[in-house]
Amino acid sequence: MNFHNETSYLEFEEDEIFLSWYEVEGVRTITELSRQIRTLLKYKAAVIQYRFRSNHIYPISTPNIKFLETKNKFESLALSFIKLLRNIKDFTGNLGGGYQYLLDQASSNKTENLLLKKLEDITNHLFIQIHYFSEQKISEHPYFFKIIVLLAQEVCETRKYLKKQFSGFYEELGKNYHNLEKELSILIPSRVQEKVNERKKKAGEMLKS
Amino acid sequence: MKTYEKVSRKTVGEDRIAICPKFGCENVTRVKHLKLGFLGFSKYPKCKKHQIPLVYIDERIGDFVDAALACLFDLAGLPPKKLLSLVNKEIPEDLEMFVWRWVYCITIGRGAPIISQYMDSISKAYLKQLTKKQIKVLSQEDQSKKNNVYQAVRKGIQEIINQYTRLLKHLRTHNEVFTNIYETKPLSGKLRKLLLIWLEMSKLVEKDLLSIEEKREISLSETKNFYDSILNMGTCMCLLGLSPEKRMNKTKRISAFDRFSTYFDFFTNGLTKKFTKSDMEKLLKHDFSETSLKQNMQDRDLISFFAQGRKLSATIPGLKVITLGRSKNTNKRECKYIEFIDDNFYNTLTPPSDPSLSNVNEWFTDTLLETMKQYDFLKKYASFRSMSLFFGLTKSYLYDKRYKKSVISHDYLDIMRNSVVANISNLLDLDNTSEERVIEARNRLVTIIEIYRKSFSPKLTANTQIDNNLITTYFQNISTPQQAYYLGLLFADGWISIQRSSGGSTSYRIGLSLKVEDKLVIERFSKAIGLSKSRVLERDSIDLRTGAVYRMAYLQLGVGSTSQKTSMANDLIKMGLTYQIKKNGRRAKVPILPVFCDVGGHLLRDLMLAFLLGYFDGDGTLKNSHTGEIYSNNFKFLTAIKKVFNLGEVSDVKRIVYDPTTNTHSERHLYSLYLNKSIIKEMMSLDIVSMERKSLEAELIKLDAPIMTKQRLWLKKVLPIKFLRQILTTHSPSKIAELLGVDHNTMLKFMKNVYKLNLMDKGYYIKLSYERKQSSVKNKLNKIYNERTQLLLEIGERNPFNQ
Repeated sequence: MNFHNETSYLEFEEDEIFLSWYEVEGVRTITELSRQIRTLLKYKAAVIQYRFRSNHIYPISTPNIKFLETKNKFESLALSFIKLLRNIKDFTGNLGGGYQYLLDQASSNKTENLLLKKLEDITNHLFIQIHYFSEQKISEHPYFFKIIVLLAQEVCETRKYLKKQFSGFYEELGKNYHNLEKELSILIPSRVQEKVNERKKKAGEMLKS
Repeated sequence: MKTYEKVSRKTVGEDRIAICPKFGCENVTRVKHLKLGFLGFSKYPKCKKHQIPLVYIDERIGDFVDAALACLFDLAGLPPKKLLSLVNKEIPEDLEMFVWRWVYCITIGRGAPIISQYMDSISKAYLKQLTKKQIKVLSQEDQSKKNNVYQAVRKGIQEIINQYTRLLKHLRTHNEVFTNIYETKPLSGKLRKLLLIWLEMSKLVEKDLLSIEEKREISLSETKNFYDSILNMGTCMCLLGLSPEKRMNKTKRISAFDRFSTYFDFFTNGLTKKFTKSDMEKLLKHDFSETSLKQNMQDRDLISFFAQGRKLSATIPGLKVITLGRSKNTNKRECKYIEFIDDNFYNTLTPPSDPSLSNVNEWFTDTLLETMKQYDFLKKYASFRSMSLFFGLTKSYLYDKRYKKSVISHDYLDIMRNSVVANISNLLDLDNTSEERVIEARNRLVTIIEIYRKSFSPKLTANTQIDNNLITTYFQNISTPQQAYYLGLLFADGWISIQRSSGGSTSYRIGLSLKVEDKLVIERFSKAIGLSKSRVLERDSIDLRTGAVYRMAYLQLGVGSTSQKTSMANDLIKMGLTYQIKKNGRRAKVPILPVFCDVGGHLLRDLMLAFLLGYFDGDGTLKNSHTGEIYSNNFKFLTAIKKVFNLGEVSDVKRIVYDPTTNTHSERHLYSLYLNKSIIKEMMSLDIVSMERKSLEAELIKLDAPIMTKQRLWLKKVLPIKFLRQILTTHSPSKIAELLGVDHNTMLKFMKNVYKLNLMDKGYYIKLSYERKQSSVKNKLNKIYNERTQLLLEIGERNPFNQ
């Protein structure tokens, strides 16, 4: 055991032993829980850092190519996830009911089973990428940060239904993300609102002159 | 205290995972049931390393979460009273909000993000102990048949999940109860500064604490106080928008394991208490006036000290804080001389009473020789040649000195003393020498050296001719503006050089050189340090930039050996007149700004201004506009001045320098700093005798008078105020600027600052323009407009600034 390890959990993926455990469903999830806690707390730290930052303008740092690539992948994955959620919602009219329907039908119906597997796969990938971003200087990308937290909340909700053994954990995690999202919505006004404010300011200046 | 289920292979029933109860220990084992209840080894598994019985991991993980929660929500995590009293004193209106902000940051500040590291390690260790078969069964959740197998392992995993969930619940509840996300606003500049100061102060305490190396008996509650003070720094860092983990990574002083295992001890010993809202209210209702006056005074002093002194030096590289008025330990040298003195032997020695009549060196060398002959192990050195080498001198030194009347200098006596101590300690390793005899020999030889030193008051150094009248301590403590002025002057046009004698010893020389018309300044300086005016000489000097030859006045004086710790040169170096060896082997002056503070840390502005005036007289220019500029090739030095006096930006001017020795030209950086009128006025108001050429009557400097540049002077000449007022009735300022070929902003500033004109609204000119366009060319308005336009164009043609 290495108690002083402060590296990203993603690095463990390269560990052969870890990979073999990772492949086994149920076991992988439990190790993932500590990663989830770390991710959440990292985001919480980033919110605090953003809130109490000394300079309101972040220095322009050199673009991190890996970050941008992952961001692109994340965005396309998030889009597929949202599309999937829409499909699920269509089953019963609400998401909760949709998940339940999917779980009930999965054992007998191949299409539903495939959909369930796809959902699991997407949420796994999303969580890995969410973790990756938590290890980056995410407070320097406030709008993207907001999107991640919003999405994390949704993924937690999905996981709550998919992983019965961990439903309590994911429910709690979702609530924590919900609180973060509330904070961020106050801290980071939406771009549309910013543009409206900008226009108002300009109009005010014009009237004065 | 919590009791664990005894880990026993007899009672385990089915496989369970156990861990060493010592936090951080890597010993994790799968506990298997004994075959037939008795066959097998290690019935009660113990940790191989710590030899203590193992505990079941699912029981232990709960302890860790308890410890983590105890750490995160401990009452001691609330803002320290000392900090609160500071905030209450400085920004009372911000106190309540500050407490809420602090509590908002507690979880992250006290290390919540690193909890998962430990939990992850435990989880993974747990899973590694499971067999593939167990995992396979566990993964098949829905197969009800197999669901009954490995219940213990299943229970263990469930316990881990529950503990994770419990942690999340506590974090969320804390967030919901103690945070008002709408009210938690960023810190004010003043509060941020105060926190930075508190953090600096706490770091010093931490540094002192960590520097303790010897073993000490510290009670658990005392240890907790230390931990809390360090963890509170993490919360403070969060409030400042910094990452507390960053600091921990840097120091590696308290790791995740350290932190929570120690907190587990505090928790089990009942030293922790979860804070509540009422605790926060109590804290806010606390009467801060109870804090003793003395404590408040100390805090204030520390604040100002850090704010003005230490903080400055920490953030600005080009300066150092000089705290004046602190007593200096002058006994150091004397203490050194007392060491190894043999009192009985001392009383037997009879040095000559009058050194001017007798040859003291003969007595000295003979006594040394006789003493050495008394010891077998020193006999081989008992000749003048060997003795000189034994005492770390050149082989003929003592023989030569024996018949000379000059007293051996402190420098050489120090060398002799140090060599005796070093050489004798080498003799201790020899087999046939008794330790007592060796020590006796050392003490006797040292005693002879010290009695010589005491009896004949030697010079500090052998080769340096220090003028007897020189006040060697002139720059030891800068207490008057005049001293600070001369220090500034030396920083600009002075130097410290190292002179090497033929014997190999080195000594410092300091010098000051100014243009011959400022000779009076050097003469005054010479007088101030106790020397006569006649020491100031003249010589020709080549300006490397232009190749021109100037007549210079200069003063040069020897100030003592480089090995001497208390010379004028050393004092100047301590004040910041430092040098650096460049790649080409030459010494380059790298001045560090001395920031004079009193014992309380308050900046002594008068001394700083006097220093700046001295530097300005040396390397500055006074402009007609009553402003000034100082120059240096050291960017950091000027930046430090800029920060201390809150001046504008440092400019970089590249200069071509001519080197007559190689007949080449090279480019050099020269930085300049603009001195505004108010700083010049402050400098000129000081009661200091300074350079007349760069002096001004302070009363003559009018701070509100506009700065008259050459262009403004021209504009004033061609556009008298009455004329300009007339023109402004038909022409907008931008049109006037365009016609004159002057920058639009320059024209606007000229009108506003020099003539103090209230300019017309833009609409007026738009309206006028419309009217002109509507009316015919012969209209009066158009006629006047065209005439004035023509006039302005003619003036513009003569504009010397329009390139």
